[in-house]
Amino acid sequence: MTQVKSLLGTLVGWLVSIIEIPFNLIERVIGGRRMPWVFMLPNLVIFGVFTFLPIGLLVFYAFTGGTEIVLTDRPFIGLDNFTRLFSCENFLSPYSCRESMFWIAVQNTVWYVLLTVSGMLAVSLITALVLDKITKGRGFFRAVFFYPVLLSPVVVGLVWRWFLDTNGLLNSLLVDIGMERIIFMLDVFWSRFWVIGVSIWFQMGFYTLIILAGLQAIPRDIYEAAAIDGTPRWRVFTNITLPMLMPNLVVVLVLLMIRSVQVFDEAYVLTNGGGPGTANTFLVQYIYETAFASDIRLYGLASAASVAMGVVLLILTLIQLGLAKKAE
Amino acid sequence: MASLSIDHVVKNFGNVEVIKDVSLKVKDGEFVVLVGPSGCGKSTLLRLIAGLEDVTKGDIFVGDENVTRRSPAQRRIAMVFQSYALYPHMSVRKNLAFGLENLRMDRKEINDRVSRAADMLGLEKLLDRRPKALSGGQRQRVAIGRAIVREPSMFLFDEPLSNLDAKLRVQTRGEIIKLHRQLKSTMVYVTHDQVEAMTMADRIVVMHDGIMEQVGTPLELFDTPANLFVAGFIGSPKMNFFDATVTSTSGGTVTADTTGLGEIALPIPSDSVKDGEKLVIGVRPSHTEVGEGPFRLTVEYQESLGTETFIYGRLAGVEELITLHVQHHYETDSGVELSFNLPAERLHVFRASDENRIPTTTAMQKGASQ
Amino acid sequence: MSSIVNFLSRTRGKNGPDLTDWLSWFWLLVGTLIVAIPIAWAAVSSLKQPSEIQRFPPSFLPVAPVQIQVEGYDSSLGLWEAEIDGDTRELALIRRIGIQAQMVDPENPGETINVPTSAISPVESLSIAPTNYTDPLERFNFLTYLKNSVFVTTMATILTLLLNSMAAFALSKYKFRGRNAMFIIIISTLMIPLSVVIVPAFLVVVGLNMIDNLWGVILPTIATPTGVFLLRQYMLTIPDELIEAARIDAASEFRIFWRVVLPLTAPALAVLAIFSVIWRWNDFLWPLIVLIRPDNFTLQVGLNAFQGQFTTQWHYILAMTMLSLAPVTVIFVFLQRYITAGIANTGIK
Repeated sequence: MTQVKSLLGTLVGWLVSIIEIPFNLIERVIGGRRMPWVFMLPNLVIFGVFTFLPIGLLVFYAFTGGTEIVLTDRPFIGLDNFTRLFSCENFLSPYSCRESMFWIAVQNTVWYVLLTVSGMLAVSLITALVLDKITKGRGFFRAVFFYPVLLSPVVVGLVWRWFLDTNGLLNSLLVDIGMERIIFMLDVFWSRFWVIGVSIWFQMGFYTLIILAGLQAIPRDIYEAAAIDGTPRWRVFTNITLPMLMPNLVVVLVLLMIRSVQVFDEAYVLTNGGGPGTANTFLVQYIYETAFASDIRLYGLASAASVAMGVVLLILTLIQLGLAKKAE
Repeated sequence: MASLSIDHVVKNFGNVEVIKDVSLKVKDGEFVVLVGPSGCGKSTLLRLIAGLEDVTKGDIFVGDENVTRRSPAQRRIAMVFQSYALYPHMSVRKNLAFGLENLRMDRKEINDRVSRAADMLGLEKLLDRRPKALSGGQRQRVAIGRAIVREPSMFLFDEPLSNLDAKLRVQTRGEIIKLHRQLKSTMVYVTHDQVEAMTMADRIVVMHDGIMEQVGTPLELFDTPANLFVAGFIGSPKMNFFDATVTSTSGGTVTADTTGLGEIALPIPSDSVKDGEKLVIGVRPSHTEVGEGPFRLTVEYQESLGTETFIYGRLAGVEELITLHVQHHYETDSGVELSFNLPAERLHVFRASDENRIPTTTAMQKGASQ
Repeated sequence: MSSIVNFLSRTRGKNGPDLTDWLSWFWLLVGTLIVAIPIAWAAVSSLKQPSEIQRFPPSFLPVAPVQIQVEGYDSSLGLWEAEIDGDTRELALIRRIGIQAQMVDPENPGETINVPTSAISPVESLSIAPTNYTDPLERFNFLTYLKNSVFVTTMATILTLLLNSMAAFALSKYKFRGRNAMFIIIISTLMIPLSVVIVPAFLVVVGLNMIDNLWGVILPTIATPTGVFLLRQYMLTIPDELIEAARIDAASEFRIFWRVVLPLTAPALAVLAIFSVIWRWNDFLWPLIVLIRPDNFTLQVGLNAFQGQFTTQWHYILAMTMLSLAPVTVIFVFLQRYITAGIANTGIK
């Protein structure tokens, strides 16, 4: 740790000696009271250029057509992109839609979100409760479950693709117990099953950590008081642990939903591009492919889909804020 | 070295006026203590002098120079903070040198000044330690050292002793007084402790609710408090107060009907009050005479300090406790009825309407401060 | 159901292990295996010989059949264990004829022996293929990918620390009109994930002429609301009197920032540095869009491109996967306590 500190110190010191002079000059001109704006400026510029400016541009894109990236070369087409996305004879059957890929992606994403969120919540909650309960080795197991969180999605996708390979370890175990080999990634059911399973494997350590922090914040004397009252265990869980954990679980739930809606990287690598067929093509992949990975780059259509996804995420965020307020 | 002049200074925080039109002149080399209860504006006033806050209205001069719009650095002042505010990641030496480095002083001069200050405060052996490794008293000395090395035109102290234990506080008090004599610098010192104010100050400024209630030497404040607030704030234990109504101003003497004491004569000129006027009479516990006298007190409890005794009790028909003082050990018990006397020349008289002092007749005032 | 709940709601400090304790440990052990096995499998596979990697059923450890030179034979022969009349002998296989294997004793190369193929099994020994690692670095672009990833991660982390700490300093140690609004604006960017603004963000990068440029990958990532938030919360605990003391000590605002505040923020900076390194090392979607020529690929993008192009070269793919996983793992092993504490305290990843 001290080494990290001193290394950081040297790096920062070196950089800083270059920028100290302009900063001091600016201070002499504008006075110390206005310096906070100078300190915030670089950050605000980056946010402005790469976050707020794009939000504005997103709307322009969504209302223009053509395949040009430069805004001035794009014809205004009003709501056409949205009409194209949303013209469906039956919203539950993607192939009846004009932009059927979008609706397949929506349908896949909805199922993915529902199953991943519930699975993740269950696994993380159980793991957190177990980690809270044990007295020895908590740090070790917490670290073990957390480790995958730090891996890159590409690595996770490849590691699991190899594990699930036709000639992989899992198939060899299946053969060992007398079953047939399964080509998991060419089977619609199994590929979806593993996409969800790998997502849970990948991220559960993060949610476990948050839930565990919530559990450990519950004062122990409440449990002791309950024990003295002779409260049955399941009542302790439903009447003390769960209510006191609720604010925490709400945060986890909404965070999980917001992140799950944006599933892309690890699923894309694991399924080698969303296969078999379109079984694992999700919303972000649709946007990515519509805008960047097809021969005709439909930026407008992709933007319209982004706006739709952004609205969903915004609603989820507002729900979170509402629930957080209610919890207070 | 410089004088300080505060000219009609007002400070608002949002809509709250925390300093209300304050003016004060501090002479070169003077030790002035700002004292008052918490929230009275004394710390804010000090921070305005330092330049850590902007004044809303008015001007501040250091010497002849108007520094109102100057940064703290340009005011050539030094400040000792309540928490000492030593840089935790720097050694004592670095702490002392930091301000000089910022002024781009040359290395040799910095080293000279640091070692002089360290020598003066007995910090030589601590120079390479971090503040964390120092005791409270040592940290306090480093904080003072950091002020000294700057050779400032003025020292500002913000409750510098409040984090020390009682014994160290007395000792450090002495050291700061010694330092003032040695450096002959202008010092402005903020405290809520009136004992500190009384023992250290050349002049005391009593502040209350953003205004200066009284400015004067410790004895002036003790003997002739300008109003009820100063009378109650200066002196420990607190002055006893009695409500009174003027009954007669004839014959050159003023008499008043006083709650719990009955009819008494007051040491004020008869033309200063009118019949029926409401007054408040004050007397310090140390000026009461227990044993004989016209007044009766029912003892509630007593505090014996060995060499002296404070007796707390009630007068007939008065809810508030009053305090008597005896110069030696005195044995009594709760419920006992004591006789006592209040020497007329020791009485302080205030008008109830504006709470200001009514000057006593000069003859009676003489020698009252012994 | 209630038995599960019973198990879940157990508190500690009972006498001796009971069923719930066993279940807890079972859960943890199985969980640990599920976490460890796929990674361990990829790790050992990455060391296998190319000829061995696709063998089914696989061996867990990286082994390969032993090949030997036998006098009188031009090519090397595989060494097999053969059972002859109850004895087990190690013989070299010359060829198979139907169900018969024609073999030769390496000690006695003159004489061939016929053994039924059902009675022989290959002799294997531990065989590691370091070329899985060295080849991609030499023959393919992986050294370039590695260099690019190191550059992106280093620059982005330094700039993240600098920019975010300056903003956090302004937001925590100054009182100025608009401060709360600024803080809310910065934190609100948490709600705008990259995947939503990816198309217009691409246009911005095009406009800045940073397409296919590593700076196009770096710049959009260096202002992170998480970093500002984490550092601001930490800086709030630094007493304001220290800043005032420095101001009286004639320090410029910038000197206050880097000589007083920044050194005292070192623990939080270290946490942010760790996160930043991991984030930038693992970034995928954004570099995938911005970078076009393989010369500019980061490791993640390069790895993805490679696995798409050479789907059968698993020995290389896995070796490069392990290479990409290594720095994160090293950081994790040494600094996991700071990482988990950082997440538990801020709740943000």
